[in-house]
Amino acid sequence: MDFLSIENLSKSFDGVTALRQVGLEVKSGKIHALIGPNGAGKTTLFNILSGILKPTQGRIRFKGQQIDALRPDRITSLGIGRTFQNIRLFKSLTVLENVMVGRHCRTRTGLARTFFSLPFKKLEEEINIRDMANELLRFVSLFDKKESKAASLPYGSQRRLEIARALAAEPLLLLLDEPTAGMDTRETEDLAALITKIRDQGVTILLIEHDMHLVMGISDVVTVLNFGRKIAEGHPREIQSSPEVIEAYLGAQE
Amino acid sequence: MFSSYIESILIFNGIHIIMALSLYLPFSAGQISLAQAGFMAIGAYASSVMTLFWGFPFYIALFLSGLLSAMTGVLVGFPAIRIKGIYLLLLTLAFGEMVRVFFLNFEFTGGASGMGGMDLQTNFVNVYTIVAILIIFFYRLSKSRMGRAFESMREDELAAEVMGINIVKAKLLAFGVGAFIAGLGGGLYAHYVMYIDSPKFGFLLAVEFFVFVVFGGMEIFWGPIIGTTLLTLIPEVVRFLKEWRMIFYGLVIVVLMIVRPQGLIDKKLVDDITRYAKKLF
Ligand SMILES: Nc1ncnc2c1ncn2[C@@H]1O[C@H](COP(=O)(O)OP(=O)(O)OP(=O)(O)O)[C@@H](O)[C@H]1O
Ligand SMILES: [Mg+2]
Repeated sequence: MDFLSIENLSKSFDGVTALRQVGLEVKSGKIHALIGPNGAGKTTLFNILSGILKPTQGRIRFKGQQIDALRPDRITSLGIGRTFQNIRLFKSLTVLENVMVGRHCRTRTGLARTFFSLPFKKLEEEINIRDMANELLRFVSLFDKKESKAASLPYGSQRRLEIARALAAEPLLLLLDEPTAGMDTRETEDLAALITKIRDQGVTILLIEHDMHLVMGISDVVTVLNFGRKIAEGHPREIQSSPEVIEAYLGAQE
Repeated sequence: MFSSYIESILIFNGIHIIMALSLYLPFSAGQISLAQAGFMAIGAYASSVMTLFWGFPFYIALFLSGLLSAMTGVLVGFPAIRIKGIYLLLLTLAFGEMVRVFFLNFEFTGGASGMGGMDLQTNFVNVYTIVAILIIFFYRLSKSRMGRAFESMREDELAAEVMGINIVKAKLLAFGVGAFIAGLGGGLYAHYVMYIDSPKFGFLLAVEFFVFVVFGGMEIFWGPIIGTTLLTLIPEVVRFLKEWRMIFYGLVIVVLMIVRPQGLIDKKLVDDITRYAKKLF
């Protein structure tokens, strides 16, 4: 059974065609990079994968199940988590609360349970959520900031918090949309190590990234999009020397 | 316990707090509602029918009218699922007016001449017992899985959905439970004033509850409680304000928007007070 397979995927917004018949196979346990010039359709692909947008055409299967018509929360419970290119944290919640929200679809306590539980005794599930969130904050080195408002964190920390929040749902596939945007060299290096660590724990990663050094350093496979079309795919080394890819990037810079 | 004048002010204040909290619940999930006066009317009329016509015990009538109001709340919640901001405001406003017009023409509950003759059942003790229960509920909610889900929806609905929250279910829940609370408020009101007619539950009343919440602050449930209490008591103390209440509210809101846009009470203030109190004891 394939892990993630995208077939013949197209998406057009009135007038603009963002994706044209894209096919993509993501193998379990890999870091799969998705690159391409601005406007190539990378984020649009993520939005369709996570259920925010519906494809105009095409099919997506995740572990054998067709997911392209499902609601975002259903897709998340099936095991696809994501971060956003334009950070979308819950700004006025604390760092810890943000991660705790990420645990929502793996937990059950409803309003009635909340209200009718015994006084002075925290619900076991609530304790578990908190413990896991704390652990994830340590994992992304934000533990000492856990009581701060999410909005008060510097940019780079916000991006790591988004990763922790997504990990709280225990995804099998994690979609990272430009996780190093706005980070300096050191932060970027740390993040590369973090991504590798996440992969080593068994989470498959689909990574949109403009930092070619990072992409070539940690990816197992690279797919290149240009004007909504897949123009190349392969091992990082092959991609670096592909004339089409160089052409696409040079063309985009002019 | 108190002079009857003060007691009646406090009872109205308690009912207003219940109404403000009923509005705060959908608010906390990012859902604006001007329908609360409508839910209150449903609670008031339904409970009166049950006690007066059918001879139900008061508390059973109160609970059942809360449930009826909640069911209506879920029905209103459905079209509200995909509507946001100003459109949601208009939809809930229209619903509130529909309820008012319905009772104006519904002969079974007295139509335009209203409905009277209920027993006096509401008193300081039962109103504030319900307020206390609601405080416990909202306190627990604020530290719970669903409470966080609501808040995350208010912050960023799309991100909340992508984080695995079923926002349709959550919105209906917030609307339904909010309407339940408003139904209780209506039942208590009806069995205190002992005469109800539909113009009381109009648009202005909905706006009044709205002002209580915005004034008090929407970040934490203490906001609507304190906001309501201040805005209910001040016009009583400053007598002449009563006639000019709406203008007074308008001024208060304008000043507040400039000085303290998040409302009077916010999480930070509550945290500071808690920390200070802990140091004292
Ligand atoms: N919701 C939308 N409505 C209309 N057009 C959209 C929408 N989302 C994306 N587009 C368009 O689709 C195209 C692809 O956009 P997309 O955001 O997927 O690019 P990208 O590869 O992520 O680019 P970048 O590297 O700049 O993030 C662009 O032309 C964009 O304007
Ligand atoms: Mg993008």
